[in-house]
Order: sequence, then C-alpha cells, then structure tokens
Amino acid sequence: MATLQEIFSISSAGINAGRNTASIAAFNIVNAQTPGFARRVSNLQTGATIGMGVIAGPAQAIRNTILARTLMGGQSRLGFHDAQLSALQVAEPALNDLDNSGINKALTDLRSALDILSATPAGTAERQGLIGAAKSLALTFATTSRQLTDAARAATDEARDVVGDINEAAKNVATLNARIRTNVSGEGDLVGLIDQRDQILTEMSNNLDIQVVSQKDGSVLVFAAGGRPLVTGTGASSFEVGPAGTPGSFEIGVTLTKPGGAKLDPLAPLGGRLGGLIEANNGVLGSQAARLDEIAFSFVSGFNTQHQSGTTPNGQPGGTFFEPISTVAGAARSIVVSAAIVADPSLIAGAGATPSGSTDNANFLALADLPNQVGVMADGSSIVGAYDAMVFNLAININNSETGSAIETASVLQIQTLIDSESAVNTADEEAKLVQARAAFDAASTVTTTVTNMLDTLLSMVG
Amino acid sequence: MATAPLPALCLALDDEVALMRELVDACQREQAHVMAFEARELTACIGEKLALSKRLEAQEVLCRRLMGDAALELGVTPGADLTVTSLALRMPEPARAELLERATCLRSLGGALRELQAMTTLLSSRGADVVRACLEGLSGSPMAGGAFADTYTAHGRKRQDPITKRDLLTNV
Repeated sequence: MATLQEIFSISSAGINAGRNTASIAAFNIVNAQTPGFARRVSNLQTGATIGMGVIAGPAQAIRNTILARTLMGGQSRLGFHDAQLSALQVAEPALNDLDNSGINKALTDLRSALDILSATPAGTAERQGLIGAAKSLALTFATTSRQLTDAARAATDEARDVVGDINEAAKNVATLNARIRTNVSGEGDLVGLIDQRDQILTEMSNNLDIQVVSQKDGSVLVFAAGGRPLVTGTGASSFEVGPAGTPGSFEIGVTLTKPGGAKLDPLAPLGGRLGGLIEANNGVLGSQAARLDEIAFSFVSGFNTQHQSGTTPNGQPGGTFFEPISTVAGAARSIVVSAAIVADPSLIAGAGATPSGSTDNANFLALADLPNQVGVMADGSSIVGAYDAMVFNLAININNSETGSAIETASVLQIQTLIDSESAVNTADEEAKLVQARAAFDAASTVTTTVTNMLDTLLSMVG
Repeated sequence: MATAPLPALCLALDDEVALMRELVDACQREQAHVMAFEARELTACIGEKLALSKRLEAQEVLCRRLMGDAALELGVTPGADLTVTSLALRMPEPARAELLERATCLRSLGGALRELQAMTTLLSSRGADVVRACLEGLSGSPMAGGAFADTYTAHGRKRQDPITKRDLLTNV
C-alpha cells in the first residue's frame, strides 16, 4: 500500500505530466506558422516504479522520415529545373528574332542588299547599302555573343552565391550535429534542434542533391553527388566554383575541400540549383556562345572565299570582304568589314570570275546564297541551318526546364501536403484539445462533489 | 414467496459493496486519466461514475427499506437514526457478525472513496487552472474574472506570474 508521501508524489508527477501536455498543445498553436515545425505530442511514461504515477518524458515531434527524404529529392529536382530555366531565360532574348533585331534578321538584310546589288551591280549607293548591312550583321553577331557570355557569367556568379549558401548551411548542420549529440541525453530542446537541422537540410536540398544518413548519436551525415562527404559529424566540407574543361572555355566545375583540407576533383552531376546552373552554363550557354563563334568564323571565311572568287567592276579579282579571322574563339565579336572596301566600295567583287559585262552579277547571287548554302559550316550544315539549330536547342532546353519545373512543383506540393497532414499543427485541433481538457476537468470536479454527497448519505446509513 | 428480511438485507448490502468496489475502481481510473491529462478517457470515466452513483442511490433506498423490515421483525420501530450498525447490535449472533462485517466493509470502501475523491478534486481543479492559463497565455488576456488563472511550479507551489506566450515557447 502506498504511503502518504508516495501518494503526494504520484499527484505531483501527475500534475507535472498534465502541465506538460497542456503546454505542448499551446506550444503547437504558438508555432503553427513556424517553417519546418513538426507537431509535438506529449510523451507520458510510467515512473521509475510501477504504480507511482505518470511522468512527462521529452516531447516527441511527429515526423515522417521517408516523406522528408522524398521531399528533399523533389526539392533538388525542382531547384535544378528552376535554376536552369532562370539562367536560360536570360539568354532567350539574345536568340529571339521576334523583335527584328537578331542574327536571322541581319542575314536577311544582307541578302536583300545583295539582291538589290545584283539588279544594279554598278550602283554606288547599293554598294554602300551592302557595306551597311554587313556592318549591321557584324554588330548583331557581337551583341548576341556578348548576351550569351553575359548570361553564362550570370549563371556562374549565381552558382558561386549558391555555393556560398551551401557552405553556410553545411557549417550550420555540423554545428547543430554537435549540439544534438550533447543534448541526446540531456534536458535541452533536442526536438527544436532537430527541427532546425531538418529545415536547413530541406533548404539545402533545393540547392544541391544530397543524401542524408542518420547516426545513432542523433547526428546526420550529408553526402553530395558521387558520395562526396559534405557534412561528417561535426565537420563540414566546403564547395568552390572554378573553371573546368579546356583553358578559355566557358565550362565551370565545383571542387570540394574536406574539413581536413584535402581537395576532391570536380563533381557532376550535382543536382539542385547548383547543378541546374552548371548544366545551363556548361551544357547550353557556354556551348551556344562557342557555336556562335563557329558560325561567325565559317560565315566570314565562306563569304571572303566567295568574294575572292569574284571580279570587281575594274576587272580586278576580289579581295577579302571582311577582315580575316584567324581563330574560332571570339570570332563572333571580331567581324569587321574590310577597311579597304569601306574606303572604296568599288572593290566589292560582284561579277563572276570571268565577267560577262558590266551587268554580271554572278558573284552577288552566289554571296546572297551563301547563308543557306549547305557545307559552309565545318560540320556540313549551312549558316542559317546552324543558327536555327542553336535557337531550337535553346528553346527545347527552356521548354524542358519549364516542364520539369511544373512537374516538380506539383510533386513537391503534394509531398508537402502529405507531410503537413502528419506534422503540421492544426490550431483548431490543438485548441479543441485544451478546451476539451478544461471541460473534462470541470466535469470531474462537479461529479466528484455529487458522488461525495451521495457517499455521505450512504455512510450515514451504515453508521 | 416473501424472503426473510435479514437474508434479503445481507444480499442487498453485498450488492451495495460490489457497487462501491466498482465505484472505487472507476475513481482510481479517473484519477489516472486526470494525471495523464487524457480528456477523452476522463470524460468516459466521469459518465461511468455518474451511472454507478445512480445505481448506488437506488440500492441505498432498497437497503433502507429492508433495514426497516428487519427492525420491525425485531420489534423495533424504524426511525431516522436507524443504521446497519445499530440494527446489528440488536441482532443475535451470527446475524450480528454478518451485518457488522458488511458495515465495516462499506465504511472502509467509503473512506477510500473519500480520499480518492479529495485527491481527484484537487488534481482536476489544478488541471483546469493549467489549461485556462495556457489558453490565457495564447490569447494574452485573462479569460474570466479579470485575473489570470493560478498555476503551479514543478514543486506544486503557486506561481507568482501568469504563464505568457514566451513561457509556452520556451518551456516545452
């Protein structure tokens, strides 16, 4: 039989347990809007001795690890598509000819100028018109190249920012790991620390595809692509964005420095926003800029060769129409109409190799046909065909990113809804719990009084 | 066939004892639910207690009637002061012992029930205070009576200050 002291000890334990349970309901309500907050439930346990009342253990958070991991995967894919889309959309205006200012328009204008000249091969004004169209084309190539390079640079800069965020998050996770380790058997706000770490990991997964492995001591290991360790216990690695591929290319890569200082090779594919930005830079923007240089180089070489095969009105063989370009790299920004031709438009060679008279326009017609001529590019395609393929490639990539983003947004939303249904706080539920508890306590007091009165009557009968 | 008053009284008192035992059991469970803050189970227990106390009241009326019959058989006029004990003392053995045993049992169960009830009342009123304080902490204002509800420290002492939203954020 319990002693009086024990009875009061049971009551005290019960009161504490009750206060804890009520506090948890209130705590859930207060934190209903806290990002990453997982609903708490009370954890009432039997005391050290059976029959000595209940004690309140540490509150437990309602979490679904599988859904949390699935959410991280979805966040990573969403981050990848969103970042790629935003990076590619920066470049979209550069290759969009709808505003009548792109390379296709400039090539059409050049062809129109050549067509006009072919009708009046000796016309001075028409020759000036051709020079103007050629200059405009050169400027358009340079502008487009600059826009593509700027977009690639913006993607690189953003990748650096994202890496900064990832490094900061990795440090925070490592710090929280340390605090959680020391709190596992203590009285601190362990659940709150885990909430905080989960929130950081979820945000980090938007920036990078990560794998999280839980440890027995409460800490987590975080791995990036290829099993590269990002967080190991209380140590955090750091990422760094740097040039990759051949020198002078647009490609960027990410190296990892482990907590001990050892550097690991560039990683790929990384997933998340970082992966999306690198993919946009290396796979689309950088290669588009390089391809534009190839197109410019082939066009200038082809145009000069064709021009040199013609004859000027003075019966001289044609010279180079554009200043010759020696290397492919940077060709799109190096197109310049020959200074000699600008100074003396009569040096434009419109007639064929063997002129048939002053109206011979054979070379003008050949030059006009050059952009559409298959085989001008090193890979056998035409200038217009290669450029159209570039535009198409960008459009396809943007479309894929948009589709991917829409799918992943829906998927993440669905997972989040599932998580919320388990972990989020329903304030109405929690308040109802409190009100229900209050009503039950009031009722218990009232009924107890009734039963006591009945008991008095009964015992008066016993005597 | 009419039953002899004494055996019938003994049977009725046995039923009364059984009901009292059930009530004590319900009260113990009620106290456990109060301590564990289990509102739904507590509500069910309260309903059970109410039903049992009604049955006990009915049983008490039956017992009093049978006690009157037994008194008349002994040639005693039943009055307001008639009790099981006083009746037993007028009975010869072994009837006296049988009645006294039941009376002792009922007194003992009644004492246990009183203690349980007192503790439950205290715990319930403190539980209600805690809930009220939490709701006030959330709303930031007293719910009724113009003063914040009393709450208690982990050692059972009354807290000097009301529970605030900040407490709710840090105490869990």
